[in-house]
Parts: sequence; C-alpha cells; structure tokens
Amino acid sequence: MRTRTLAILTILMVALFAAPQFSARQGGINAQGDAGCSCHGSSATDATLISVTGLPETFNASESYPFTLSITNDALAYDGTTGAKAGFRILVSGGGSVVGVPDSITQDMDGGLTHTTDSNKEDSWEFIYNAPSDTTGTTSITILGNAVNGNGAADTGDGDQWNRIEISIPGVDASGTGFEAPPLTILMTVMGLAVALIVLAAMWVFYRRSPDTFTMNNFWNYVKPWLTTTDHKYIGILYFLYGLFFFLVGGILALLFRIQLALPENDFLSYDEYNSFFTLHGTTMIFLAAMPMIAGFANYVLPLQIGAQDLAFPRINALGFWLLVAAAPLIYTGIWTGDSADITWVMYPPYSSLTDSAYGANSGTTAFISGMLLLGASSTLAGINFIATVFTMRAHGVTWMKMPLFTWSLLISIFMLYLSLPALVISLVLLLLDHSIGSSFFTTGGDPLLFQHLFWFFGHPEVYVVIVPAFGIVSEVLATSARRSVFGYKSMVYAMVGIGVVGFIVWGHHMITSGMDPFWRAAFMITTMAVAIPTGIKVFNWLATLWGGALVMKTHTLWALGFVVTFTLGGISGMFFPVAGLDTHFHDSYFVVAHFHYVFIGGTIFGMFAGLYYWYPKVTGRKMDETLGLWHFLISFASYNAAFWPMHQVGIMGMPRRTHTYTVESGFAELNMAITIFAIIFGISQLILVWNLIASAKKGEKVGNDPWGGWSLEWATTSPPPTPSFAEIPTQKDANEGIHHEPSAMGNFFAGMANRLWAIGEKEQDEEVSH
Amino acid sequence: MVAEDTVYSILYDKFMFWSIIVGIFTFGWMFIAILRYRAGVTDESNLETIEVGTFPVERDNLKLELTWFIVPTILVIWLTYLAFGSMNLVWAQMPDEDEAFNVTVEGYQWYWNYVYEDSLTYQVVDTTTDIITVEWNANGIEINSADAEGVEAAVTYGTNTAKMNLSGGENSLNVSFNNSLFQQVLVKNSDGDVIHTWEHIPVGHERSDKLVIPCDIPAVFGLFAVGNSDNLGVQHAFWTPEWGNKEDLVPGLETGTKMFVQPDRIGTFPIRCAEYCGLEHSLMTSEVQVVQWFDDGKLNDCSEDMWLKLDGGDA
Repeated sequence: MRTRTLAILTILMVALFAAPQFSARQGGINAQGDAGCSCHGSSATDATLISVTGLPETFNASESYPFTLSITNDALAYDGTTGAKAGFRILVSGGGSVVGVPDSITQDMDGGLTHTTDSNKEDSWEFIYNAPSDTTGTTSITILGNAVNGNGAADTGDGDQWNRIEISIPGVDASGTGFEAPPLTILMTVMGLAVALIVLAAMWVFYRRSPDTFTMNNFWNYVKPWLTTTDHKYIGILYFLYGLFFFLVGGILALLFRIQLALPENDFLSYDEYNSFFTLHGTTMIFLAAMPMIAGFANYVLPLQIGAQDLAFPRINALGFWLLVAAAPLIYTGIWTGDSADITWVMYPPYSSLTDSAYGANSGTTAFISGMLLLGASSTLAGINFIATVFTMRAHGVTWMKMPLFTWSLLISIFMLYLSLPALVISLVLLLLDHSIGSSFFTTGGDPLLFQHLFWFFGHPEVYVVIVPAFGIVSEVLATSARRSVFGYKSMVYAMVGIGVVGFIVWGHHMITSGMDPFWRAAFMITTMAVAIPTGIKVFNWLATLWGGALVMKTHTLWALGFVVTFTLGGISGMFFPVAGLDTHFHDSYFVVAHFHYVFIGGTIFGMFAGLYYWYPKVTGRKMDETLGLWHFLISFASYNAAFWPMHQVGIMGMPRRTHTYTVESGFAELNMAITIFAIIFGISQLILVWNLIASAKKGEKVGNDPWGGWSLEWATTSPPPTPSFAEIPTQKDANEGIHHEPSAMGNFFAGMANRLWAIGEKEQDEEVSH
Repeated sequence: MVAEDTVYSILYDKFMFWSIIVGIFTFGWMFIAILRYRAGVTDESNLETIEVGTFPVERDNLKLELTWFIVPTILVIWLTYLAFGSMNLVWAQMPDEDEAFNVTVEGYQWYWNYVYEDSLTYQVVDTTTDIITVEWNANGIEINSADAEGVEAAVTYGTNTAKMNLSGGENSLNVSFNNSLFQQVLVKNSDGDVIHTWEHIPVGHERSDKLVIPCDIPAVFGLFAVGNSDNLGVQHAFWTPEWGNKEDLVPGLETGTKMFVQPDRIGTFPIRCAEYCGLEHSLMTSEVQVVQWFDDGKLNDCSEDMWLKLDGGDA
C-alpha cells in the first residue's frame, strides 16, 4: 500500500516538473526570448553565414568599437536588384550598447535593434559597440542574420534562411570563470544555512546540558516529539514559530526592496530581483507568516477556550502543518534556479501563464503555483478540523452565545477560509495547466478576467480571514485589561458574522478598473461600503468597553490600543476605494499599499502581537519582559506609522505600486527615502520581540494560572497546560443567571442621549397624531 | 498637486471631511477613555467581578448599540450617494465619438503606442519671445517670422525632413498641405532650443514618444493590450494621474476598454502603467501633452473649465 502511494506520488511529481519541458504550444513552451527571425521560417539554418569583424576580445571602460556585420548565403540567389537582400536583429545584454552607422539603418523593436525596410537592401552594415563603464561585467551580443530571396515577402518555408551567433565580450576586469550568483540566491542560501545553524545550536545546547550522556539517540528523542506530535499545543507553537520565521524572512525581502526604492533611478536590485522580491514578500507575509501565526493561536488557544482536550482530528492537524512546511520550499524554489516567480501575489494571467522568457513569467512560477496549491490543501484540512472542533467539542456551559469572542472570531474566519478556498484552488489548478501544458483557460480564447474573479472571490474573504481573529484577540485583551466584560457581546458576534457574510460579496472592488461592466462596479461599490457598518460597531463596542473600566496598561493592552488606532485609520482609508471617482486614481497606486499595510500590519500583526504578549504566560508559564515590550511597542508603533503614512501621499502623487524605480522629476524621492529609513527601524525593532521571546522563556517572571484576570476556560488550566489540556472536561458557569445588571457610566451617558433622540422622534410623532 | 479640479479631487475632499470627523470622534473618545478610566485613577468598586471559568455579566444597551448601528449606516448611505455621483462622471457618461477626441492606446511590453482616430493640428509656443506663426491651406504651409535672425526651421513632411533658414517675413514652403500626412514645423533659435512647434497629426498616425491631445474637448481613449508573436499580450493599466483616471487593458478583449479625460489645462503630464506587466513594468511610462489646437483654423484658447461642463457636476 505504502509503496503504491509512494510510486503514485513520485510519478505525479515527475510529471509536474517534466510538464513544462515538453512543447505543447505552437511556438514551443521554452521558446527562446527572441525566437529568431520568426517571420521568416521557424528554425535557424547553417546555410546562412554571419560574420562580424572589429569587435574586441575584451573591452575597456566606455570605449567605442566600430564593427562590421556581413551576411552571406550561397544557397540563395539574391542580388539585391529586385528587393531586399538581408536583415539583422541585434540583442545586447550585460551592459553596453550597439548603434548603427548611420543610426537610421536600425530601429528599436521589442528591446532589440532590427533592420529597417531601407537597410535590408544591403547585406553588410557598420555598427559601433559602446562599452559600458563597468569593466567587471561581460557584454553578450546576440546577432540574428537573415538572408532573403528578394521576392519582397517574408517567406516562412526555405525561401528565406536565417541563423544566429552569440558573442561575449568580457570587460578587462571581468572575473572570468569566477563563481557568480544572483544576490537573491545568496541571501536565500544564507537563510538556509541559518536554519541549519539553528539546528546545530539546538544540538549544542542539548549537549551542554549533560555532555556525559549525550548521544545522537538522546538528541533524536528530544527532537522527535516535535516532529511527530499531534498535540494541539505543540503544533500551535510550531505554527507560530514557522509564521514568525517567515515574518522575518518576508521583512528582510521588504527591506531590500525598500533600499532599492529609497533613491530615484536606483539600481541596487535588478528588475528581475525586484519583481521576485515583492512577489515573494506578498505571498510570504500573507500565506507563510500571517496565516500560520493565526493557525498557531487557533491551535493553542481555541481548544483551551472551549474546554476541549485537543482538536477533533489531531493527526489531520499535524498533516496540515507539515504540508505548510513542504509548501515553503516550493514557493521559494525558483530562487536557486536564478529564475524566481515574478507574478505578484495575485498571479494575474495572462502574464503568469506565459512561459516565453523575454515577455512571460520566470520559470520558478511552476513550482510557486504548486506550492500555493499545497497551502490550499493545508488550509482546507485546518478548516475541517476547527469547524468540527467548535461544533462538537465545546465543554458544558460553553453554548453558542457564551463562547469567548476569540473562538467566535476564529470560527467565522475559518468558515470564510473554508468556503472561499475552492475558488483559489480551482483558479490555481487552471493556471498551472495554462502555465505548464499550454491550455487556455485564461489566455487566448479564454478569459483573463475569470481568473481575477476567482482569485478575488477567495482573496477578499482571505483579507477578513486574517483580520477577524485579530478582532477576537483585541476583544479579549481590551476587556481583560479594563477588568470587565466586553461591551455588547451579542452585537460583537453579529458584527463579525455580518463581516463574514458581506465579505463574500465585495470582491469586485479589487477589479473596479478592470473593464468590468459599470453595473457590477456599482453593485460592488454598495456592498463594499456596507462593510464599514459592522466594523464600526466593533470599534465603538471596544471603546464602550474601555469607558467606565479600570484599564491596566500592560504591553498587550498597548498593542490592542495601537491596533484600534491603526485599524481605524486603515478602515477609513478603505472607504475611499469602492468610490468610482477615487478608485480610478488610487487603484494599484501606493495609496493601496498604504491602506493594506495599515490593515495587515496595523490590524493583523498588531493584533497578533497583543495576543502573543497576552497568551505567552499560558504557553511558557512565564511573563514576557514588560520593559522590553514597552520599547518594542513604542519603536514599532512610531516607526510603523512614519513608514506607512507617507505611502498615502506618494500614492496620491501618482506612484504606481510594483514599480522598480522612478524618475527624479516625479518628485517621489524625499518621501520614499523617509519610508525606507522608518521601514528599516521598524524591521530592526522586531528583533527586540525575538530577543524578548527567547530571553523570557528562561528568565521571565513565573506566573500562576490566570496572570491577567481573564475569565475564559484557558485560564482555568495550569500554565503551561498539561497533556491532555484538561485533567477532566471543565464546566463553564454563567454569571448572568438571575442577575439584574446596570449599564455602565458610558452606557448611561449614551443611553440618556439616545433616549433624548428617540424622545424627539416620539414627540414629533405625537404632534403629527395630535394634528 | 495632481488631479486638481477633477471628480477625484472633489470626492477626495468630501471623503476626507467625513474621515476626519469620524477620526476625531473615535480617537477623541478613545483617548479620553484611556485617560479617565485607568486603573488607580478611576473608581473600581462597581466593576463586575470576573471569575475564571464563568461567563461574565453581560453588559449591553440596545438603544446605544442601535445608535451606533444607525448613525454609521446613515453616514455610509450618504457616502454611497456621493460615490454614485462619480459613477456617471467616470464611466457612464462616455462622450459621443463625434464630440470627443479619439485615440487608440495600445499597450505593448513595455511601452505605449498611440494611434490617432481623429486628426489634430496644433501649435506649442515654447518661449515668450516667439513671434512666429504658421499658416496652412491647400496651397502650402507658410511660416511668418517678423524678426528671425539665425532661426532655423526643421520641416517634416510625411517621412521627409528638410531644414530651412528663416528670413524675416513670410517663408513659404514648397509643399502643399496634405490632410492625410504627418506634417511638422519645428523652429529652433540659434542656441538650438525649440521655440515653436507646429504639427498636423492625420487620422491613423502612430506615435509612441508622447501622446498629444487637444484641450477643452473630452479625450476618449480606446485601450487595447497588444501581444507578441504567439500570445495576446498581458494586462496593463493606463493611468493619467493628472486627471485621476485609469483603466485596465484586457488582452483578448476585441472591443477594448475605454476611458475618457477632460483636459482643460495646457502642459505635459505623466502617464504610467499601473497593472504589473512583467520585467520592465516600471519603465512603461510616457507623457501626455495637452495643447492649444486649431479648431476650424482658429486657435483654441483653453479657457473652459471642462469639469464644470459635466452634468451632475455637484456630486
């Protein structure tokens, strides 16, 4: 049985990787960047001779070298009397340039020099090669030469014959045969090595604990539980550490391209590197950082909050995590082939389905999409598991409307994920087919907009999937910190459900300028505006929770309050997008980048940080250092706002997103420099968190079961909880039974206001009646 | 400031107004709550008891919660109403072909190409000292320069280019004006700076250096993504930040997509590609030049406020 499974998996994998190697399209899937003189027959022939005289062996800095290009073909009887004789096409890469003498014999076409209708009456031309100033590089010149039969037509048979030569000219200081790798490859290799070093360091620590009894076997026994665990607490920690690791990886990628953007016309990164970096940054942050961190909290806290001993399907839970681990290398794999995916996190075809190396996506895209598919599988498994757990494993007393808000938020977010994922998986499968075997779901004959609809049908709920759990965390943290229950528990639940439902019918606001029918743009405008209402209810309920309470300023409180500020700002800027007249300007500008970083970092990540400081004592039995936490909050919060607020402004000024560079005249330079500086500070301040996490695990202040005064069942068990998490299934009591409760001071104030408002309405009604 | 006097700027101001009100209200409430109700400052005696494992006493207030359900709903309805005004201005009221200046915009990897569907004769006066006029009729093109010592004119006629030195007074060219040919007169002073440009762009003329459009007439762009030898091309988005408008180019969509702008100020403004389109996406920039043009032989003065001409302008 096992052998058969293995065999099938092997065949599938071989098929997956081999598919792109076969030619299924007319032009061949691995068509060369410049396929040749494609309008004159399909393949090169040796009958045409291309000779070049005058090019140097090596070039000196910025020197000009005249050279002559001649094309001869004995097989074709052409004399130039009746029409064209020969044509050429010259492609230069690696620095330097080639110009014709005179300039008018060439024309720029698709990134290369091509003959003109006048100059192909000759078969020999003069050019000048201008060497670049950097003499450590190597210039590659590809020359395609075509000899024609002079009938004036572009013959595709043997009438016209073409050939190709390639010439490399190294600079005088070129390192020759020295090893060269793209910086991204080096960076990722360093990260791989870092992981290996961490493993070695863990071994060293383990060895130091008892050098005498150390054996590999002992070490293996120490590691093995982590690799084979099905305990929700261990898997939760693994998920979280995995998410945190990729949060840092994605952050480093972001800092690198922020350095690129700091100066106008900068060349710190190449186009290719830049495009790969932001693709990987987006995908990493959403799918490999935010989602696993949420899954980490969900795994650890959710069963404890509902009084369950574990999740419903512990082994499926472990499978979900390890699929995620398998997905990451697939997503990053293109980096080591030097051709990493550059299709943005939204992966819009037709660009992502083109395999043409000059105009299409990089070859790493195949593995990238496969990795995304694995993520889809992993999330689906998690979805089944959590939904089943919440429905079937709640302890006595944990009824639907007595469930902690964090559990509610997770249930809603996972429902959304589970229902929207099929759209993503379908679109990914079709895209993979388009990309690898040349089907045409989204290209010629298909519909590129279909992909956008499918993707955003998933993509928009996905945005709420990562933000709604943060709502839950903030609800718990603010209520506990204000030492009271959350205001308007029921309306909080309904608001989240409302966001969950409306979240499924707003996807079109991502496509308002995509050429969609104006009717649908209007429809999506209305639905999107409606999201503000339940979100507003949540914010006001949090504020009402604070009013009249006794707020304790712990680090997690600060992060939760910071969340309310930044999320409100991000929510307000979100209101600008569904508006036709505003979105036409903001769409795909830096204003969008500013907005979604305000909700992703200021919302999701700040919420995660609040949760991290809040539940850390439950996981380790020790508090995190409050002083370090305060510094982490102050530096992060200030630098975060300083980095992302100006992005609104550069967006309004007209800077498009995903742009590798910008001109001096555009006026974006000063703000971009500021953004980069503060982004670097924000990045560095996360190291305080990492240090705090490590140091506090050993030296933090020891705590009891309920250090913050929370009420939900996770605080009833020991810190850290035993396995299984509860010695016996607990029963949740209810303080509302037979209690008459007074509204709070805030409640009284607003109730008075509301009463007066309502009274006015009633009075008017009365008057109408009396008339 | 980009996008001045457009649908965008007016909506932006209105939305900013409400955003600031919501912001002041929310953050004001929050900071007062934080300052007033801190532990150790506030009276903690009447707080509910929180016990582990016990669902705490619920606090709610129906009228209060309804208030902050209904008030934001009214605000959202008002904002949606504002937003709807812009729907017409941006998409639905696409000007008639006859009343607009039509250009087909083609998106290649990675440059813009403009194909003129309407002809345009215009002039650009580059310096204040310019006293040159260009006149044309079926007989020829005449350059009048009252005082033009050492001034050189480069004349392009179709694909041919000639240079002539201008003498004071009338200089007639030995060519007849042809409505279907691209004709250009570039007058340069002795330093080689262009001081006067006159151009006639015929229907069907293609150019990719810059887009020239006339002022005071809506410009309608038909947007088409153009592919390479074996594919339909990729998505682009044609963005004119000056007018706060953009629209995607959809590969394979035979009718193309459309957008229009209301140019009423002469000048040169950037064009950018806003939809990621591959390797050199960031280099896919261009310029749009709004010019005074000859409407039936008379030079238009660019004095209209196009935005106010639109119906429902008070969005």
